[in-house]
Amino acid sequence: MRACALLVVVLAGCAALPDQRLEQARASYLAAQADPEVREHAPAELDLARRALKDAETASDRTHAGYLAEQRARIARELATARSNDARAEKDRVFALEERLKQVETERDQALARAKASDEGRDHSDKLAAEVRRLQAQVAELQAAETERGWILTLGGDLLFDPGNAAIKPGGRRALSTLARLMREHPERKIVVEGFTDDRGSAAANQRLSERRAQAVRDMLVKDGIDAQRIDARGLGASYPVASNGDAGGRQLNRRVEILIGETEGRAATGGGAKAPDARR
Amino acid sequence: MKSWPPALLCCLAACATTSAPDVELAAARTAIVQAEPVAWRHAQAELRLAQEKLARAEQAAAQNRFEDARRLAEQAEVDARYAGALAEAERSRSR
Repeated sequence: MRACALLVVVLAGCAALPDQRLEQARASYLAAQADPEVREHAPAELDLARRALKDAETASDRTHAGYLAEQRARIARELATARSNDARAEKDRVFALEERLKQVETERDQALARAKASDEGRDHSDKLAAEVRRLQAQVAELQAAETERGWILTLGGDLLFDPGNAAIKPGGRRALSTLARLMREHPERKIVVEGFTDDRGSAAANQRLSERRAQAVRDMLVKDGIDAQRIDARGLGASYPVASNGDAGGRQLNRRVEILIGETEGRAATGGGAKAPDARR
Repeated sequence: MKSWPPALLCCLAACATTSAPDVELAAARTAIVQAEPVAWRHAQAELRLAQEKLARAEQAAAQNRFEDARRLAEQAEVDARYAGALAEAERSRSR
């Protein structure tokens, strides 16, 4: 009875008939083996499947061994899918992070650019403030030039006017507003504004230009609230040069406006007229 | 007859299994424990199949049907691993 059962087992296990399960295992393995995703993401599991299939080809119980081999192939297949999806998700996550990083970098660059721009704006206003201080210092320094006729303030013609023009430039306007402030602080003083040119051009043209310029300075001061009665203005053309007209630097010094500030009331106003070069400075 | 010697070998191999398949049973239990955390959720049916086969393997071993026990334990192990792999794939799709 027992021997009979054994014989049945032997016949079942060793029959050389093609086994359906083994066929399936082969097909599953070949499909997995042909899939690049499996080869890339589950090479170890694919190798286990290959060995299981090899065992199944010679196993006594091909149905059982074929089942094991087929399951091994399916394990490789599913794990490859899982790992591939995970890898893709990771890649997406990294890509999203990189995108975010790019965005933040762009924002940072923009913020830096804005900061730089506002620095430049600050630089610009710093420069303007420095220019104002420089002009104020210039006015204060020139104020210290004392002559017999009182205090004399010389403003460079190039600071106040464009060449050949009698309209006061912004830089000159600032200097004159400082002068106006000084005059308000010393309401007892009168001034004489004298315009000078270099020796280029005709004497008549220079005379007219120097008059118009002196007048422009006077008008500016009046506009700044100074009583017109306290200001005399006159043009003296190219006379009384303070430097040589032979070179550009000297001519620049000669193009000027002098403001004589009376030490006491009335003195400057009466100090004009017949001036001698040696009386100056 | 040429087919007798391998048939005889098969017979001997089958009859040689006289001790309990402890290693195979342990491997099946380990595979099931490893698969459970993901498989109970994403591959319940496959996990249950592995658990049933392990139970049948243990029963067979208790009844000294060692060859049945070994086969069932081997199948329980690959079934558990398949359940785990299937669950991993499912999890990776759903996230």
